[in-house]
Amino acid sequence: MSVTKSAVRTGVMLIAGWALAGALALAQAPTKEPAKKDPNAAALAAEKTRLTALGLKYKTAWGLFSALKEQAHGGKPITNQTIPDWEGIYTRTKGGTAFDPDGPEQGETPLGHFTPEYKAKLDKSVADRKKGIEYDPLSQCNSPTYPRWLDLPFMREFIVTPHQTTMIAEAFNSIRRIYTDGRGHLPAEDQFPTETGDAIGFWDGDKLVVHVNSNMAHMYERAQGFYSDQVEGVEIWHKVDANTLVANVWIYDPPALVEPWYVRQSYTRIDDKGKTLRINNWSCKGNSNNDVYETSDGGSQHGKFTFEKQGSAEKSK
Amino acid sequence: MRRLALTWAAAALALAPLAVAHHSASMFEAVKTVTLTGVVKEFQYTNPHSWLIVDVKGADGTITSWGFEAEGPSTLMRAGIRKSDLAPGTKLTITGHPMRDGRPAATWIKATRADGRVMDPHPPKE
Repeated sequence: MSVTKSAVRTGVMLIAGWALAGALALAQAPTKEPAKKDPNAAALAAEKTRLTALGLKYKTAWGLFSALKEQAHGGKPITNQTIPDWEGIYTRTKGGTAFDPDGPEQGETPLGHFTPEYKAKLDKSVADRKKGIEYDPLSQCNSPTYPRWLDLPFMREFIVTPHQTTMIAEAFNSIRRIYTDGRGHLPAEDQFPTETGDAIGFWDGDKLVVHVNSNMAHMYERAQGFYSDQVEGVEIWHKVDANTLVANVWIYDPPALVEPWYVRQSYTRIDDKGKTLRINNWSCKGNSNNDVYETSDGGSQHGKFTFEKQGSAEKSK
Repeated sequence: MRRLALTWAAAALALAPLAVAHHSASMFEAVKTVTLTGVVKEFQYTNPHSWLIVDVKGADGTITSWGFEAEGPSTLMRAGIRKSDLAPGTKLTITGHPMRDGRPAATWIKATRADGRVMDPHPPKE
């Protein structure tokens, strides 16, 4: 395509106008119509206060899980006739990739209460991010691990059967299996770290209550804090309306958190009336333009692109 | 090179998230955008990221292939962008956050085909 000076001038003017319009919009923000308030905001805030306090009553995730099970009189197994309808493709309702959907956006300090050691690690990662220094092990398509699984973007499926619920995240082909057949965890001496944890649960009506242990140390998300290999979770999953699956989650991690971190995760069923959506496997090997490596200063960089000209390799790894 | 504009666009940034979920976006300029006009060379519709390769002719006639990174196929499908929408030879103008190191790559913010169709690779909220 040919280049003309007028086209360049037009482009610059358009961009300048765009930026100016944006700046004016920001300047005029106070006069804009206020954002619509969530009519359920007060009720959700009260529920969050109650559930946060519930977590604080128990020193361990297992303690909370056991209390919930006792309260449900051990739970009642579902049958093929009483399986809740969780069919469909879902995606996270809000939160971006921040672990706590009610917390600040990724890049600002999250709401979890970290121990001094883990707070220092978090603060450094937040400060480094602001300086443009950041690397994520998931760049190599490693497992996101648990509880990071909960805040992954993209699509998800939930497959419920009487004896097992299978949760599939499109990202990183990451699958969780929650056993509801009455089994317990492996004996402590036989437990070992797993990529998405060892999860057992029971049904309390149409609510799935889960305990997760045997996890790996990792990060909640980039600049969202780190967890140890002692992290455990308790979850209560519930379909609150035709298109919304909610998980109330308590994270316990004594090395990293001074108190359990309660978060309300929510997943919305995607309208796929055209039946065009597909959950396809991920592979970091399928397109070399997606190669990302860690730089010597702890940052991230793309490898050599296939579309780069020959001779530009000195700029790449 | 036909670089229509390289500008700081902080005011527009809130509307243009860096589309990189499986890796950090730190290799891209968060507060600069580049807008180019060219022809689609290839649409790599792949996980975990898709790449739209666009040939851009410079003032001296030299062709530079630029890569624009977006999320994978499921996100593009939800955004209404199919592989056939950007077949090789399609003329367009595209805006993205460029690489910090100056290589010809950027995150894809918005593309406008010659027929006027605007393609934002970020799906609408459900």
